[in-house]
Amino acid sequence: MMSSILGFINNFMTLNELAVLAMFITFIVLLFRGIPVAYALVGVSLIFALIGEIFLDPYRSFFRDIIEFDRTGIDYRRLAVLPQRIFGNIVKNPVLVALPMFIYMGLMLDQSGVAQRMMHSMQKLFGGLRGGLSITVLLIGIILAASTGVIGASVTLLGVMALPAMMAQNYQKPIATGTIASAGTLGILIPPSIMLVIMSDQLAISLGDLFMGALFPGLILGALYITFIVIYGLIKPDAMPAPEKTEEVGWDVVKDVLLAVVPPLFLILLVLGSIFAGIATPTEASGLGAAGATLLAILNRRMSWQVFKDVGRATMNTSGYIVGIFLAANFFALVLRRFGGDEIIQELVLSTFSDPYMIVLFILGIVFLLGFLLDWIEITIIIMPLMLPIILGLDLAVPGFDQVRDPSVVWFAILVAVTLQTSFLTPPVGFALFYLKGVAPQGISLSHIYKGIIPFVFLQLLGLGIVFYFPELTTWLPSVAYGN
Amino acid sequence: MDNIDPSLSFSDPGRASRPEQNRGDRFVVAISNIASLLYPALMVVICVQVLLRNAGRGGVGPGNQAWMDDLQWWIYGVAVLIGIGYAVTTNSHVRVDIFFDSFDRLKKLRIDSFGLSWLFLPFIILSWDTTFHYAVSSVVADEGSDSPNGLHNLWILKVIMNAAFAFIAVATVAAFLRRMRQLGKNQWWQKLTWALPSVAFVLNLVIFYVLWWFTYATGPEDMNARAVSRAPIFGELEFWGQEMKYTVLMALVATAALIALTYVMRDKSLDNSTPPPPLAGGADDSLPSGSPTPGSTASESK
Repeated sequence: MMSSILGFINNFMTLNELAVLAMFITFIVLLFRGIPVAYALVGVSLIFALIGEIFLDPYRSFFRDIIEFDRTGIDYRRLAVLPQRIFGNIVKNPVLVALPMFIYMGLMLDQSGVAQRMMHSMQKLFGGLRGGLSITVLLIGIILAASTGVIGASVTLLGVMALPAMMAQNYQKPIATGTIASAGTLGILIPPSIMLVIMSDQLAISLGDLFMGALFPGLILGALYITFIVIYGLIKPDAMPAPEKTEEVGWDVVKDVLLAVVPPLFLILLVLGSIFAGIATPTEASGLGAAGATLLAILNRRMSWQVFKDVGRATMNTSGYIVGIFLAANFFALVLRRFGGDEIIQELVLSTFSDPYMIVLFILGIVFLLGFLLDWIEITIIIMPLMLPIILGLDLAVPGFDQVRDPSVVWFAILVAVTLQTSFLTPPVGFALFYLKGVAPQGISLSHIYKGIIPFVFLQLLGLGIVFYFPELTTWLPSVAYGN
Repeated sequence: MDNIDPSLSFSDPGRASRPEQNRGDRFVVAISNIASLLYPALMVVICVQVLLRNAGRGGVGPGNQAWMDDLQWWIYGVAVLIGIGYAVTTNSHVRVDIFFDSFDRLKKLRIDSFGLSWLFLPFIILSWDTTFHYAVSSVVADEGSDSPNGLHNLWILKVIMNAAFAFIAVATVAAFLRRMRQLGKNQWWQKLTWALPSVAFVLNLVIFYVLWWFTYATGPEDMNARAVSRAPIFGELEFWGQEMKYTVLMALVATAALIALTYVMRDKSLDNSTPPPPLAGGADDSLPSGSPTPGSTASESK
């Protein structure tokens, strides 16, 4: 019975491929039962390590008569490479030092009251214009994105600050929520960003190159959003009406805005400026940023022993669950490789198209689809390392201007980063939606939010197309920044 | 804190489930709270390093300190490993909750228990065991540093790494036992059965190490590790093409015996007990809330 089934399967795939397929299916099933990603990854790896050791390997001669099979060679002694991998990839990893520091910085910045101040002053400046609130939200989103590296907090922040004002001015609910969700999401693309930190680690490319490379695409996306809001406001004035009575915009208001923008600009200068000027490495810039945010919190009189403790503990928690997936994915990769999973996936992807650019598009398509269900942490940590050898092997004409190492990988990483912007907005699992729903006032339903994000997802895909056709956007700035 | 904008006040992650926490959970939270000070410390180290280096370029001060470069990832490494345990206790490891959110409370608890004891805990025990050997061989070799001016005594970090896995194991066991109590499974045989693979794995390690040290201690003077592993007790049983170590077989038998024993000795009056209701005050952390409180601590970064 079993042998005839296996014989039938042999027409399509080897036993290794079957095992790898079963591994991913088991993983997905566990995931959808609600098992945390890290537990599911290590659990699947343990189950299949055990199957390989006590079932497939001992009876390999029996299997080989029916179906192609390479022995896995997993046993307890071989797993002794695990601590080396944990130590080398997770603990002794100077790049990942930036991860908790950027998280710390983002949480501290949330507490510092900087965003509130910007909101209050910019609202006065733009409030009288049609669509003024949307533009305010987008500008704050871009400025915050360039000063911090996390999202979530900024979506809640923008939601709490701007949504009630937008409702009071009779903005249509979808456009209001869509603006906030997409503006908050920019934080993970525009450098500094913890997603780029993780990508730089997983793809073995310079974090500085990635930061500089993501700057233009991030700003382009921001510009696209603003252009869209302006055009939409012209076409459908009712969607974003101007307030009936407007206060006069005097020089006081302009001065307020300038003063409110100074603190975030100080942070941008501190983090990106110090990298650009060569004063600090990108990793060190994260520490400087954390200190800068702490300073702002103190200057704004928001700092207290309680805030200090809470920020540290929340940083501990957030870095804990991100590094938890790192740890789990390390073990998963170890077992997957024993089954030959790396090569199987590579061949599968490479066999789809012969044109290298089509292969890149194919991978981006997969990432886009995965983004509906998973979020960036799992996608970058599990999928990216599998894609690295594929990208390195492709013949992609990405200009490196003789300065950027692995320009095609930098380009690819930014493409994935732009694609992952959609994963925050696409239901059913989009974290920006989730956070926005959490803070939305009465009368805003999930369907308003879902409707609101649609144009922005298309804008993100448009931005992706631009970066795809003009790879120079991602490699020119790094080449200049590090050229001399 | 009442007068502050709600988006500003995220709560302390360790406090959310406080009423339900057992002693193990509280131990994990206490250690993590102390360790959370490592992040500001890391921030200070980085700032000092940047200042020193740039002052050094101008000819002032000692310049870049290689040991401080190392210190940065030492601090980071210890802090995030502890963070993994902390995130187990605060139940914030990332999950896909499209279906999970609609499950009832008991089903959520059962899924959580399964994930903790069948999937995660065996891996943590495996990591503890392998990092233990890793740490021991580093201590024996008195491992220094790979950069001449770097931080020395790398073995300290490897010992801490091993301790961190013990810490994560404590967090996982405590989180599992908390859920067992919430499920009303207070009898030892129930808890052991629910954690079957982890129990068998631990018994296997205990039996192996006890026999190993017994053989080593009772053997001749010149007994070395290699000779110990060749002792007949560490041999293998062969059947149907399988090789099974005697120690593994003993562990399986011991697991079955342990569960049978605890079952026979159970408190029969509790046989028909039902799960206790969730504690009042909405402090039940087994329900990662469908609508997060503003700035909910679970996932600031996503």
